[in-house]
Amino acid sequence: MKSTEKKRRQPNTVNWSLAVGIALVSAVLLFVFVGLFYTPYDPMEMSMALKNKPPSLSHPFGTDYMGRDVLSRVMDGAGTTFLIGVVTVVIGLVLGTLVGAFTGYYGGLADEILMRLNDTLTSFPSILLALVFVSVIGTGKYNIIIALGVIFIPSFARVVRSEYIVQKELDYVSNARLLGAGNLRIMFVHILPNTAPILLSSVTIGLNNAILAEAGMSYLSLGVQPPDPSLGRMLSEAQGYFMSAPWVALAPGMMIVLTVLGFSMISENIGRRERDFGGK
Amino acid sequence: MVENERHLLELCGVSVGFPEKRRGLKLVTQGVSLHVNPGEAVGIVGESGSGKSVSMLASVGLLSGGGRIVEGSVRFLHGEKYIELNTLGQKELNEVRGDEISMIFQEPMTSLNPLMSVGHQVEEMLVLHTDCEAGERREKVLAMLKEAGLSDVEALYGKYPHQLSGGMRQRVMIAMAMILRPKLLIADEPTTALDVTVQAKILKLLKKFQTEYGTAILLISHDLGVIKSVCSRAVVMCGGRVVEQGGVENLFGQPKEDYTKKLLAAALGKENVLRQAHTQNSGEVVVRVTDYSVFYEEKAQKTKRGAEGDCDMAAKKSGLSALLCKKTRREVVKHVSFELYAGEIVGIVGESGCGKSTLAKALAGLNPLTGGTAFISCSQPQMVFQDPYGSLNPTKTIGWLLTEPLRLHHVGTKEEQRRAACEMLDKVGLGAEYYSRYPGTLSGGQRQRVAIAMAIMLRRRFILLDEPVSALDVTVQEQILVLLVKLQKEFGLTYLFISHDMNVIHRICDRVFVMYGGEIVESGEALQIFDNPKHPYTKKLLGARV
Repeated sequence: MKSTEKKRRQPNTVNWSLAVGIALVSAVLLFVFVGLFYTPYDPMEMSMALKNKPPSLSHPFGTDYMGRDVLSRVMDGAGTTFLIGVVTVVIGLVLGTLVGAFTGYYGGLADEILMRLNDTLTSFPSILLALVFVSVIGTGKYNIIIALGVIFIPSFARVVRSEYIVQKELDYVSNARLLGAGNLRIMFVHILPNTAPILLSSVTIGLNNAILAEAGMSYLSLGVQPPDPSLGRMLSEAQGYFMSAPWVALAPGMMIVLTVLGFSMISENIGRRERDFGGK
Repeated sequence: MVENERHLLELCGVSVGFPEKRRGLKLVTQGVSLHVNPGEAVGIVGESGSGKSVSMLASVGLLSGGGRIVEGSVRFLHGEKYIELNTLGQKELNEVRGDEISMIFQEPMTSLNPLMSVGHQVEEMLVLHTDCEAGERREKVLAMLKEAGLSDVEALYGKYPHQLSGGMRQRVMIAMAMILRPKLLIADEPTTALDVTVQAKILKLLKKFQTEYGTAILLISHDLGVIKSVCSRAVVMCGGRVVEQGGVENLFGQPKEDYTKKLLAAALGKENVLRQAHTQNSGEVVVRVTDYSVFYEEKAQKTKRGAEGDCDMAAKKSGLSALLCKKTRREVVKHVSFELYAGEIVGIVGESGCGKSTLAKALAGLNPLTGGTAFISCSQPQMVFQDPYGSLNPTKTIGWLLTEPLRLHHVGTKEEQRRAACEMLDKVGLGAEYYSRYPGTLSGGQRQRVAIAMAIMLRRRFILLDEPVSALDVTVQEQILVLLVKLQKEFGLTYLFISHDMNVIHRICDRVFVMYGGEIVESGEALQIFDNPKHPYTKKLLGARV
């Protein structure tokens, strides 16, 4: 047995794509973290004299149409975008896991109803749904978190549900039942940890989607409201000056690309690893 | 051995290595040398991990996971001259494989393509290696399928693998392997996944091809009986090395090496019965089953899936089955009645699909669709499952798993629970150092010990054992059986021992029930059943025992 277990772990040299992914994400996180305490300039401070200045030593990424420092605004705005992304995913994760666990474990009529509801939600483009939500509950940073969070529930629910359907048939679950464990304990103490690998990769994919969705919503002026910066908001503002001052769009755009790239690289590797270990 | 006879396949000092993290190569086999003469049947025996499959897979270039031959050579007689298989490129290798060397594997379900009809899969061999016309190909395929012992081949041609039984699938695999009349057939545990009666037929078929077409067979198996019934010569492997080789009669008659002796002792349970049928029948009934039936729903009715959750003993006794309409159910266990007495080990034997596992699961309360009554004198009986990889939660430590039943029933303080778990680990021969390890770091036998420990933690007197040793190597099987008997004496347990393996049943059980088609067709003292079987099915089972 030992040799086959070893074999499965092969070939395992340095995993460059995972390493690069982790490096990218931690660089972005560090950048955001510093932005919480220190930015070179006040991200809201306007100056007509500095309007649309190209990158220079004093403003490494230039200034925008109100003379605000782009670097400072990216540092501040990336934090906002991150916050929205993380909270959105947490809402989707917690509620989605609950829905998925119950429907997958019990099956039956409730499963049928909830899953058709799920299908209804997924059959609309998520940005369209968010638009509907926002038009009902209003715009703003916190409303957008709620709107996006709700929209993220179905994808998590589906992943968790299918995992529960597989896991509940395994012998260790029968064993736990014979030992006297109740349904709730089986669901959340025995089975839940076994869904961790698949949840982890959906979380990283979810983070990507949340960050892109925030950028999209703010770009449509439905998310973060001016003068607060967020990556999407900044892109939206830079659009009008794209020909004359392209650097204003460059910094937030790059930030989104690097973050998404980093998370994608990590999640792809988590998914692959899980496939390698999962099958018997 | 004749000096000038030319070997068909020759392995010379083959070492296979797998790349390992940071440390270069890990050698799985070391200096394996063996040969196969044309038309000869050679067996390779060994436990899992002994390198028997790996060395053969490496020889034909089918290793995955970066494994390769590091040392030694593999020579194959191709026409008049030898070719070195380990130096060939993928393309040349493909020409030899299939055409002159073919393989069959253990699990016929996964080695057939589920999306292709079986006829086309067999035909594929002809498409790749010959230039026959379409009509001619079909003729050949049908003839071959018939030759492989399949009936109604015209209808079979268009069927898909999932529509066939395990034995039929393996016959299709053999047809596929033999259609090009290869010189060498490598069979890797071809019958391990099959029932004993089917097993005997498949082995006969292999033997037939060997004698009729002069195909050399290299049979890899952990089962000495299988090797004995087909091969004239055998190679014993252990830990990646060849331990002993020679003619089957000699090798198994007068083994020289200790390992071969150990293997033989473990395999030939007949001389080595762990319990004799001298049950001091206490008369105390632990389980009384009367007119007991178990049902499955024919087509999973969605609305009834919810019932699975609350399948405790109460629901079972109240006869939940009465609420369900009859037409959706299929009776898997049919009106069985029996009694088990305290301190007995009772075996249920039968082939897969006969309902023996279903019966055990129903008795444990895992299937609510039952009819009749089952009285069990202790609360919730415990169960040990067949697959030690599925029955332990991989995300928990051994200690957590063992203390979980105590936690669930609020027995003792944390410290007491911990002590009880450590004691139990000692009792099953693992030791307290396993307390904080995860199941993933244990071998199959060790896991099964943990599963047994878990079942005993609550000190229930009745334990259901569902094929507890079938997934284990023979020498490990031996240890687990000894452990089970020891624990049975120590804790005064009653076992219902389910197995398809007559040898195992023979060694451990006081009484035996033979199940066939959901009914108990014969029951009695173990010795009586084995020495003087009455029912034709029991005779057939005993006859298939190799």
